[in-house]
Amino acid sequence: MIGWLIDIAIIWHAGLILVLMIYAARAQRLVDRIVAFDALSIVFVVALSALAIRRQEAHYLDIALVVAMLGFVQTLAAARLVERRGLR
Amino acid sequence: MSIAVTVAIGLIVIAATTILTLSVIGLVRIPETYVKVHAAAKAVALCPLLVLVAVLPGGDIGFILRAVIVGALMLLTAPVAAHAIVRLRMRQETERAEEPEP
Repeated sequence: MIGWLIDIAIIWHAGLILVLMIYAARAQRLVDRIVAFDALSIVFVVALSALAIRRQEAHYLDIALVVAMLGFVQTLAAARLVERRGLR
Repeated sequence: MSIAVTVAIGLIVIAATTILTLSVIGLVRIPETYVKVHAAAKAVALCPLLVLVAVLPGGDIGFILRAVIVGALMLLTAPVAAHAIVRLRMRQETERAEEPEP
C-alpha cells in the first residue's frame, strides 16, 4: 500500500548518488572527494534499507552492512593515504 | 500490518529522504571543508537510523537483528570517519601555513 512512496524514495536516492558522483568528479580538492564518497556510501545504505522495506527481504540488509563497513574503511584509508603522501 | 504502522513507515521514509537531500545540497554547495563535513555528518548519522527503525515492524528476528547491527555500525563509524576527514584537512592547512615564506 505504501509501496509507491518507497519506490519514489529509492529513485530519489539514486538521483542523490548521481549528484554526489558528479560532484566528486568535479571537486577541486581531494578532501572534498573523500567527503563525497563517504556520503555516497551512506546514501547507498539508506537506499538498500528502503529496498529491504519494499521487498520485505532481509538479505538487502546484509548488503547494507557490507557497504557501510566498506564506506568506513574507504574513508579512513583514503584520508590516511592522502595525509601520508602529502597530496592535495 | 495496521494502517498506523504503514503511515509511520511512510513518514519516516519521507523524513529520512528530506534530511538526506538537505545534507547532499549542503555538501555540494558549501565551499569550506569543515562546514561541508558538518553538513554531511549530521544527516549521515541520523538517516540510516531512521530507515532502520522503519525496517523493524517488518516482523521476524532476522530483520531486527540485521537492522540493529547496521544501525550500531553506522552510529559507531560515522563520527570516526568525519574526524579522520577533518584531521586530514587540518593537517593540510597547518602544513601550508608552516611553509617558509620567501
